Amino acid sequence: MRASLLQTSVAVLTTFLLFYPVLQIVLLSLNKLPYFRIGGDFMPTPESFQWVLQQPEFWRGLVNSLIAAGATVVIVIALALPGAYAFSRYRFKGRDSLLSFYVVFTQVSGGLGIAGLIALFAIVSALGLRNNLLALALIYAAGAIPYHTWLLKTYIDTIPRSAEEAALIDGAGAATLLLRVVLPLMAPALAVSAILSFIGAWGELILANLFLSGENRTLILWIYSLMSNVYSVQWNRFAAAALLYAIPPVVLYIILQRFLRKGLAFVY
Amino acid sequence: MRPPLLILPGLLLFLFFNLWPIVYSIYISFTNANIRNFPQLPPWAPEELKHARPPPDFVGLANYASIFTGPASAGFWNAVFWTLVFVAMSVPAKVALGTFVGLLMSSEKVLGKSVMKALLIVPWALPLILSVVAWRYVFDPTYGVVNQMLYSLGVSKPPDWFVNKDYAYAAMVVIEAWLAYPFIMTVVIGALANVPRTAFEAAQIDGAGRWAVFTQITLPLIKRPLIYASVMTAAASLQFFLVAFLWNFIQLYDRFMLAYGYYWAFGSPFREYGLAAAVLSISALVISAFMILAIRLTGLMRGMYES
Repeated sequence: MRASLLQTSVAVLTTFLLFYPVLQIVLLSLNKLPYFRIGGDFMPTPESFQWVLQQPEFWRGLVNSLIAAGATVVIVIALALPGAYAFSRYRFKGRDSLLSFYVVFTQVSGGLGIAGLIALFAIVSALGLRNNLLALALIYAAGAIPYHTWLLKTYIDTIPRSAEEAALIDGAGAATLLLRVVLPLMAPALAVSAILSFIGAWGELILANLFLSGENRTLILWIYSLMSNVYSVQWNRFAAAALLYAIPPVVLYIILQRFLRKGLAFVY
Repeated sequence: MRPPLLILPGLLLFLFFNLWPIVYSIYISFTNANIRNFPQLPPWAPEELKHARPPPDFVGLANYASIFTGPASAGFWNAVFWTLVFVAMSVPAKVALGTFVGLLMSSEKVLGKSVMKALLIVPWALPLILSVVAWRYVFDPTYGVVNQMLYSLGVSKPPDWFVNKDYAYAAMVVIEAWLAYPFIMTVVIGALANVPRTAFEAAQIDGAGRWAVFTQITLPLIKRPLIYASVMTAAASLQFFLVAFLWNFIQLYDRFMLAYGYYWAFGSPFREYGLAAAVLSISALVISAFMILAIRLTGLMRGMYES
């Protein structure tokens, strides 16, 4: 079939229109003036980014976000991996219903998370765990368990059992099997799981906003506070701050795509 | 090690922080929990402080009476109505846009698809808050491209997309369509990727027009995945909250179910937790009912047990 000029033009125009909001925020962050207009003057300068890097709130937020997201990754993998192994390798009562409950929950977790917010606020307050980054990571991990258990389970399903059977004959228990035999084969799936749980924790706003204050505020809360006083912050600086905030998850997303292209198409 | 020991740690953490709060919220919805008596203080708080803060009283169905027929009912029914309107407007918009782009990106006649696909997937990869920042600038009353274009089209007083309730709501539909089209696009591209080109070529040789090829071959191929994706994305629309929260919550809190509940608990000075819990419990019920119905109707879970 020959290429069609009409179809290609429509595709290019559509792509441009849909990409425009992102393009404009990038140009805005590089502009000398605090705003950017189509057809207006564009004077590129890194000044807005320099301004962001001079803000102490940026660095404090960055460290806090890294702590919260890093802890979330560790907890998610430590708890989802054993569960995933059990779901994949054993048949037991309630297995199918629990697994389908996990899968369905992932689709409504956002809404139900808001629905349970008041009680969660009460529980966390009564335990004295407000304004605690690690407690927040524990809550993030709890919400991520169903999805990641299912994700890792579908990957373990693809690993042949022969290696485990050999180890079993040698008298190994489930823990040994999991750590010595299965884990080394799981590296790509664990990377995917780590990336996705990191991105999730990095971008969480509602719980962070409810529980964190002062020195413990994560980076997204700084962006959110800039957003709430948009009239006091110059737009180009605000754009630069939001873009710098977005770099870690976007880089991780690009790495994720490489894993997916290598045949780990089980994510979606 | 037995399987329960491997599953339980994760399951218990999930139950404690995710499922228990929903059950507990239902209990709170039957109390008068508010800023004076809720939440309870941590164990090490001084005794006299704890005494000054008696626990919430049980008030039966008072909160539900308030949201269904009482003082909070106007806002509640407004939020439910506009949430349903939002589903009805955003789902066709998302599916149409995603399908259109997906078909373009599956067409043999389009050049440079790999570059365009990489750019088109970007809304999916960006953190939500950056997307909202970008769209705030698009809709900025003074500098935004939307109002600039309206100016040049001769509109002397273009709308304020933040302060005007209806325009802010319209912006939500546009942004939700933009956020979700990559998902639909990916589904469409995936559904068409495994179809042999010869099927299309044979149809054309047989003299089928473009429209006939679309309705007779393309549409049946993408129909099932598209229905599945539409149901999933309708669930997302039903749970719409974050973008409204970030846009201008004061104008949008009574247009979305979850936002209305959040507003009574944390978004206003009132802090009526009991009332808010009633709103959010009803929302949770609606969302769960939708999911269960969707699973029944589309056979979503079929084939899950095969592995």
